Amino acid sequence: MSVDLHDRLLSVIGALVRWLVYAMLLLPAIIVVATSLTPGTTLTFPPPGISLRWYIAAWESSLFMNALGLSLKLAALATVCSLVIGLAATFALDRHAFRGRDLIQSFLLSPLLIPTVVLGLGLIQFFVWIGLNQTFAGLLLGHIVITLPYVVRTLTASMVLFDRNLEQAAMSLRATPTTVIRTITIPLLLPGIISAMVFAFVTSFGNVTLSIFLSYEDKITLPVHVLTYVEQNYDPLVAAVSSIVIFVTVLTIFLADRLSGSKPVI
Amino acid sequence: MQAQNVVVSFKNIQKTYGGVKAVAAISLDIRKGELVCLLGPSGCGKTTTLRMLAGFIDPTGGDISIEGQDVTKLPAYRRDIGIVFQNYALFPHMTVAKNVEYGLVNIGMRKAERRERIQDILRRVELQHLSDRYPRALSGGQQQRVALARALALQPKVLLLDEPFSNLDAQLRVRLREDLHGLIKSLNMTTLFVTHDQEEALTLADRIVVMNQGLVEQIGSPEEVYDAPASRFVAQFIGTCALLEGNIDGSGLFTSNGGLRLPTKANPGPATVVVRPEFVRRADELATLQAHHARVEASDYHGHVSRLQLSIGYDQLLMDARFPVGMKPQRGDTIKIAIDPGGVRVVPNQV
Repeated sequence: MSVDLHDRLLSVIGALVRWLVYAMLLLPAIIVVATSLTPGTTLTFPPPGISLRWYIAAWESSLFMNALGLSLKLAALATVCSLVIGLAATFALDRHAFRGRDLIQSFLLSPLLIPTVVLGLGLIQFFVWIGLNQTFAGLLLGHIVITLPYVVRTLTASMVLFDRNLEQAAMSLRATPTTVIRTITIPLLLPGIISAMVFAFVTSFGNVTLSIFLSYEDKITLPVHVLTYVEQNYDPLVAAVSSIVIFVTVLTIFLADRLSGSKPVI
Repeated sequence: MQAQNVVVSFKNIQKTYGGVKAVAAISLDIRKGELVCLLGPSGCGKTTTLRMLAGFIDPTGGDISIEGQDVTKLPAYRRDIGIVFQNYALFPHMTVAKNVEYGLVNIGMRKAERRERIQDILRRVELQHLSDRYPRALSGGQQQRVALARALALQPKVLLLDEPFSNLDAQLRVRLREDLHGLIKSLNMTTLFVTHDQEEALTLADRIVVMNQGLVEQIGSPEEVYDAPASRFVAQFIGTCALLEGNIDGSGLFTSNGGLRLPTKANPGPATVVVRPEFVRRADELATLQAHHARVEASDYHGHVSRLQLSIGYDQLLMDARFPVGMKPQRGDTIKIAIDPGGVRVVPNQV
């Protein structure tokens, strides 16, 4: 009897903890999206009604729209660059045994270990020194630095699982190395590549800490803009903008999932 | 051996990894249509040898030629070979037909001709009804046949098989082995086959290359390596046997260290003698020969025979025999046996 009670108690507590975790994960996003739909002029939850007026306001705010454009462009470029660098690096690390391989591997992952504030401070001083401060190139370079570890990590994981016999089989079937890469290696690594791109894109798109250091004049990314806006204003416009950030992120993951076929990306 | 019949020729091929010899020095000629088997325990260098022929591993020394052309420096995609891997290595993102077509596209064959070739080869391996399936939807045996079809579609000069049966269950293995043998022979395909399974080697191969620790222990027909093993290793690795150490006197009589005497035709001196279990018989079956009293140390029932571990004094022997129901000797029994001299082989003593 008491054992039975004990088991039931445990399962109830288990369910409670589970739902608590889900709530903690999802509630912030739900609250932000809900408040963004308010017809009023203050951030209130739950909203007194439903209206899209703040989305229209966001759409009409050239400041936020410019920032969104910049953030998308920055995230896309950072993703492509870190994918190219990361793919080449992971190939070398996976396929060749050379001196200092572990060192390079750790080096590529090191931006994950260094606090982004420190990274930002270091980068801004470095960019001042080499003359890249307050340039788009500097901003992009900074974002490549923080997205690269995610790319390397994800690609390394999928390359470890890659069966090298497949490439050798293709070679024995008269495929030249370029043909092997085009028809065998890349198609089979595609889920890993897409997942690396998603991580890179989302990391860059949502980054605040580094962008605060590297943003300048009209080149201010959306999350930084949201942060500075909240410091002075408290209207639902910022909730609408934040919701847009959430939508972009979810859409990215959804599209990536569709693109990679049956295998889930994340 | 006619030189023009040689398809594959290894000349003094070596491979060392950081000072460790994986393959010491192999020289081997494979003739047109011949099925040669590299047999040995894992780590003996057999797979390394196969991969050097395929072009996946660069030899440290020596030359490899295919139909007289030196291919030692040629990349894998310029060698005329087909290979079936242990795990088959089918392209998981392509259907059966696409897998088979892959090589044909690479050599620039026309579409109509490709379709004909795919049909033909899939019919030969009895898989034409599965041509639109993906590899993951196939059984192990079917995957193996797709891998074979893919390798054979290009009509290579040599077919390489790297333990192609090791992932299959025992019954299927025997059936597919027979199918494979029939197919290879009907195509007159020159084949190099790697296995650690001596039964596979004995049933399939025209010639067996027994390897151990990077060295060739013996090259010969299945009958030669089984009946006349060139070394202790070959005797023990292929089939089961008892080894007796001893001396041969001037009249060819072998006396073991335990005192057992067996007639041989070998030269005098210290020697090791191989006695296969099927040549140890009940004394009443070989009444003309000297009988020995042997103590049964262990007895295993195998269905078609019982295998007994016997001791005669200090000598250990194995015996395969049938006994009437209820008459099977038990551990501790003493039975009378005779040793068929036709089955006694002398192996050179390596010091």
